[in-house]
Amino acid sequence: MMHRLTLGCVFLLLAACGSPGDQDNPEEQLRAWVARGEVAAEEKDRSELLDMISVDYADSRGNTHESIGNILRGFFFRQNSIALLTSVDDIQMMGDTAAVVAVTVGMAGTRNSGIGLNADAYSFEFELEKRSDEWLLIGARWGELGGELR
Amino acid sequence: MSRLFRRHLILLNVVVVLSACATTESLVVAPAVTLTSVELEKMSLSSQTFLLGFQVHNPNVFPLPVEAVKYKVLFDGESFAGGETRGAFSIPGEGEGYFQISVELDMLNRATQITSLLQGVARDSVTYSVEGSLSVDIPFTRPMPFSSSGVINIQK
Repeated sequence: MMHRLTLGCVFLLLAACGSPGDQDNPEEQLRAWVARGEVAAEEKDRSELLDMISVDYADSRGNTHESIGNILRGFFFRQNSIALLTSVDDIQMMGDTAAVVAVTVGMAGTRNSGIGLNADAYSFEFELEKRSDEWLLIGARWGELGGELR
Repeated sequence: MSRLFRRHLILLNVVVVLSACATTESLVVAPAVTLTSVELEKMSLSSQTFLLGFQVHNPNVFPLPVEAVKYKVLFDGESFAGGETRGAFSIPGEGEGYFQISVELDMLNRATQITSLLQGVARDSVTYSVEGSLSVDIPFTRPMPFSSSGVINIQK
């Protein structure tokens, strides 16, 4: 009885804390960030995606947090279902609070009409910064797979 | 074969298989492109330069960063000009944008017939049709086709 109670307490403790080893590992956190983004995009959860992007976001194309929100609105309005295939290619840590994550993303999006599907692959380089224990996207470069990133 | 390359290859295969399953559809609503002006800009003994003005209406809520324009213009059913022009410009969301293309015609080969068409004494307008595609710098967006036709005044 005592043994079962102890085991139960250990499980509860583990459940409450999650998996401490993984959560402390920045690389795992960044992989989880990519996975979270993939799920949010597939569920067309625009606000979740915007929560992952810093309000200070800027890129060489002149995009901002707001303009990306507008693009996502247009994308999600037009596409009825989106399937993403992501592959984390490289993670470069810069200290404990900054990182560059290279990701290849393939997308297949279908519309209700059943006639449309868009499938391409792009290389992305995400610049992330850790603020208040949360990774946020502060910049990005991208290009077609094999092409130049900018 | 490196691990990274192999992973890309697998991803690419999946994407190719998915692509083969259906027709393509752009994520972005295609803009409407119309020819709004034709101007004889320069004339010499060997060539003539026309300036074609286009208006673009972007129905999307976000701006369209245009990277390249492929076009083909016909006047009275006759091929006038065509090609691809690269250059970055942006069309505001739910707004209008304008761009111009300079077309130089070789007098010896092509310009004579067109010139007589455009410079006919009795005519100051001509029927046109334009078709092509716009390439935009938004991921997962394919070149978007456009076509339009109508009557245009010639500014000589």
